[in-house]
Amino acid sequence: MIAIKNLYFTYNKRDKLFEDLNLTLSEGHIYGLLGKNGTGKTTLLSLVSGLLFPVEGKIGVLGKNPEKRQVDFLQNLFLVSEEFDVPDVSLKKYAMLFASFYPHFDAEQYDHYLKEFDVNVNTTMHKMSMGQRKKAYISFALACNTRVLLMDEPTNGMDIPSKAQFRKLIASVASKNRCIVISTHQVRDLENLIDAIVVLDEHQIIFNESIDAISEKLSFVAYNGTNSGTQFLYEETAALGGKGIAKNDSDIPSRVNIELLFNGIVAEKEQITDLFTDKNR
Amino acid sequence: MDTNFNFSRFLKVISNEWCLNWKKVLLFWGVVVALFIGYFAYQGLIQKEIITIYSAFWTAILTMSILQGFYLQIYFREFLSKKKTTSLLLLPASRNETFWAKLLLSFIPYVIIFIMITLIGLEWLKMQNEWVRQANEFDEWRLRDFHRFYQTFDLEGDEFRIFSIMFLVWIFSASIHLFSIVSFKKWAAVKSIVLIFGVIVGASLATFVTYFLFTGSFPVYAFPGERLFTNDGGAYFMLLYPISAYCYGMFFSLFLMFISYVKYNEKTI
Repeated sequence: MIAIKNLYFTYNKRDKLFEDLNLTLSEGHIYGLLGKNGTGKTTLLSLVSGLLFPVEGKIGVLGKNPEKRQVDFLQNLFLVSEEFDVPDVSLKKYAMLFASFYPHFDAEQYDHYLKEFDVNVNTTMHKMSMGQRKKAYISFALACNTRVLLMDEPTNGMDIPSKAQFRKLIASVASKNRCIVISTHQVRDLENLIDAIVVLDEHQIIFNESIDAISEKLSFVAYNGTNSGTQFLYEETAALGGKGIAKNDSDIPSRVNIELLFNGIVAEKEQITDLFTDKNR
Repeated sequence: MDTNFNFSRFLKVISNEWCLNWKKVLLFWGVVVALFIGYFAYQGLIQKEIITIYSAFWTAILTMSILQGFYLQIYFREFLSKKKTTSLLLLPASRNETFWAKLLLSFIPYVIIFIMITLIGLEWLKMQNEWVRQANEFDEWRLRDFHRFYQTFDLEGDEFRIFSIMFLVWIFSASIHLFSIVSFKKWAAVKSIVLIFGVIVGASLATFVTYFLFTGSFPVYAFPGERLFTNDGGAYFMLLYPISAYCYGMFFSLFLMFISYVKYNEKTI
């Protein structure tokens, strides 16, 4: 559904952002795109949606070249950017103006999502708080029923109940023919939501695995006091105890701690990623 | 063809643009019309000066062409912010549809306001000037000047000339501003002014060269806009000079418009 081959991208000649980046994302999944600040998560989403053009390499989305911004490509892709334009109209009017551009838009779904987020459809967008605007925009994005849904820091500005509601709604819209990519640094917001993790670091994708594969290969252990001898691939210690990532030698899948996994991949890249290479599968 | 241009989608884009911008558009042109009326009323009723139709016409043209730039920014405002650029580029409509919708919407109110100012406004000026003339005693040059205006611009016989100039001014102004909006990120105002001078100098030079190629001599002004001395006694000047100036003005404007269109299509955030 999304295929990136040998991508090279830079904003200026000195500092490359991506070099020989390869990534394949399939339909039927919710991907969590993780990376430190400045690694290019937003840029990658912009490249996929055709807002930026690669310097070298190829990007294919739904079999189309995003650079061309063809109408049928745009009808099937929605990017919820971190900051977005808010026209001075009510949510009802907003849907009236923009929904007709999306052939699969469902007005009932839109009302339902707004209700779930507790946002009034008659409110003017300019009068809303940042969190309210975001919820309204996400409701519209979900109701467009595009095959590719890209979300950049979608939970920024949301309160805790809204984050829970967000997870519930995203889980409800996931379908076999849809690919959802959520980029965030608030990894806890993705717990129990995503089914694959993509980590961006050092100009490349350094990790792209399903949650199932991760829970089979790795176990996430928390302990009080001192470590009682577990051999960790990566460990974080605190005053009262610690937690770490170990190789999962049992047949029972573990519960994935996304935050710990991300820190582990960034700190001990080879130790962890080697477990997922073909020879270790 | 449907991917490049679909008429019903084009209408949707126009309707969207209008719904999102009509308040700004009305406010903008409302202020422009009020300023013109205020200026003419002040000249005629308070200063008790006769306003020449010739000068009123050119005041309207020049002011409108400058304001056109600000006005275009209502429709091409997306490129002034990353958020707006993003939402424009991701709108499921072809680039042709969005570009021409914006251009058309910037042209129509310009024409309407221009007609209001030139035709209705200048007819009103004639009446106002007549009151001023009857109520005051003018010295001879003013009266002569006053009569000359009617000869310079007879609105009932000169529609083609007036609207040709109006269109040239619009396309010249629109192309410069559009090019500046899509091309310049830093020092946009300064670069635009340089561009305006560049285009004017370019078009003037081309006109002079064309004139020279046809007549073997360069035109010489006695004073701007009035009369010039040429070997042919002005016959070439009266026809060749304005036509070639118009054509080169159009050529440069259309060229800039084309470059703007290409840049619009390749716009990124």
